[in-house]
Amino acid sequence: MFVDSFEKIGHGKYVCQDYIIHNNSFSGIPYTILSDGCSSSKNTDIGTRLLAYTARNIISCIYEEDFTFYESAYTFLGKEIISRATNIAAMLEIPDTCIFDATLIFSFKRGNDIYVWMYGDGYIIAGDKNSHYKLKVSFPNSAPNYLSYYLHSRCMNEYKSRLNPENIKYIEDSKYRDICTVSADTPIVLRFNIINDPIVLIASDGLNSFVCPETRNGYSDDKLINEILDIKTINKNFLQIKMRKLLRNLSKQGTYNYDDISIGGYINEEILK
Amino acid sequence: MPNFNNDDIDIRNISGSSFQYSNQKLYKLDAVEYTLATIAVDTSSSVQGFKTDIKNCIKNIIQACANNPKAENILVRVITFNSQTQEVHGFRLVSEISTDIYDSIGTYGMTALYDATFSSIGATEDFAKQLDREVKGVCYIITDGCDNASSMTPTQIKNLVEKCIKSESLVSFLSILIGLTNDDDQIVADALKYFKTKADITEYISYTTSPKDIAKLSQFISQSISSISNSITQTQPLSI
Repeated sequence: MFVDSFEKIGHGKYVCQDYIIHNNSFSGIPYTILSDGCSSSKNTDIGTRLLAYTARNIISCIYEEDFTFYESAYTFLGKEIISRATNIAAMLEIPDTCIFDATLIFSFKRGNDIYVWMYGDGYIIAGDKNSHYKLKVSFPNSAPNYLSYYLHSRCMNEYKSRLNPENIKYIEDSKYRDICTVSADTPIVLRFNIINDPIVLIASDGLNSFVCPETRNGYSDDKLINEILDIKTINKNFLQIKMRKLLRNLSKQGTYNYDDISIGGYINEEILK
Repeated sequence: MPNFNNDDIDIRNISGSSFQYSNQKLYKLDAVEYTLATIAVDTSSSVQGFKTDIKNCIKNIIQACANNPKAENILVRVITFNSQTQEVHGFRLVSEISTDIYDSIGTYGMTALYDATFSSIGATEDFAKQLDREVKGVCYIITDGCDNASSMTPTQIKNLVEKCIKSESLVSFLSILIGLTNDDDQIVADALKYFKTKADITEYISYTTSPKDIAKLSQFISQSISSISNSITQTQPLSI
């Protein structure tokens, strides 16, 4: 099994506010973790890094727990991650918690299972090029429920009253035809089996930001996902090889990603051979 | 002819010809990007006088590339040509090439320049497809004389060059014809420039056959490979 990740700054941006890390073995645990920072908040490129590494450390604490714990402890884990990250920022004398106006998707592998948590928006994809499962989470006004809001109830209340008065998020689950609406703090914790789903990917919402500036036509995220899953070269750099080639071909068509894009995941080469 | 007695390599055909090339097994090549450098060296009888300098030139190129920070992303193929083309070794990671292999290069026969050029460019194009990742290609064809033994033509080479440039597998491709000519070789120099134009080869440069100039040639080629392998491939335009 290989784990890999890829990130690219959005066209026209100066700072990449997506951050993704992966490793085949951190304390023996394969993982990939991404964080997508709010472009309107300052220094979220720092916040996303701190969140990603804090989440990595949390993984080793929860690794031995079962899935029911993971589902029930969703909010607790989110608060724990932001709390620890904020302490680290304070030690670095970075006082503004707005650096943590960011989403977080973290995942790790245990045995044949891949566990994924999502805080905020983004994509979770599992399967292969012939068939796959897609979960896309988005929010009204493109204003996700950032981890920083977990710090203080007043932040969360302001989010609920101003940015997302209905306190909802949209779930596009490929198992269902229609887009569902759920409460913004509904836990998103999923489990996949790497034998049944030989490719499991997490991605930021940048996957939905491809546009051709000349024609103003958007590039469908479903089409992009199908192309990403058609992986021909399977090795430790499978995603970097795939994404670099895909983005190069899209740029030849005049299509670019206008938001930062980060994507990471696992591939079971034994199944796909 | 490629060396068949090696389990470490694959043998492939270059389409549109009877030429073959070999490469290190793909499963050993897991980097995101590669630079494919081919060095085709004239070993016809006219090269006898500076054969040792040529061998040292190739050795110096390989050693310099092996010291490059991106050595793990550079694959080099070396072929020689006289009445026929011979592959000294196929595409291999430069850090894994033993330069002793070049000691066996001998000089005799005529000059199959067009065949060597076709083989160099064709193998680059085909192997870039096999690698299926970001590949930069460069071919150096070193000769001291005109073609007098090939089956391929400059037009066929031109078609192949066009294929490389349009190839989705190659993010960049350069072909460099290097003439080893002295002051009294103007006819040869003119013929090589004509070949460069007819075959749409990127660049023609000339060096004399003096040891000093051949040493400079090895510096030029190794610096050129380094520059190509370190260049950043753009997927977005620079202007905002």
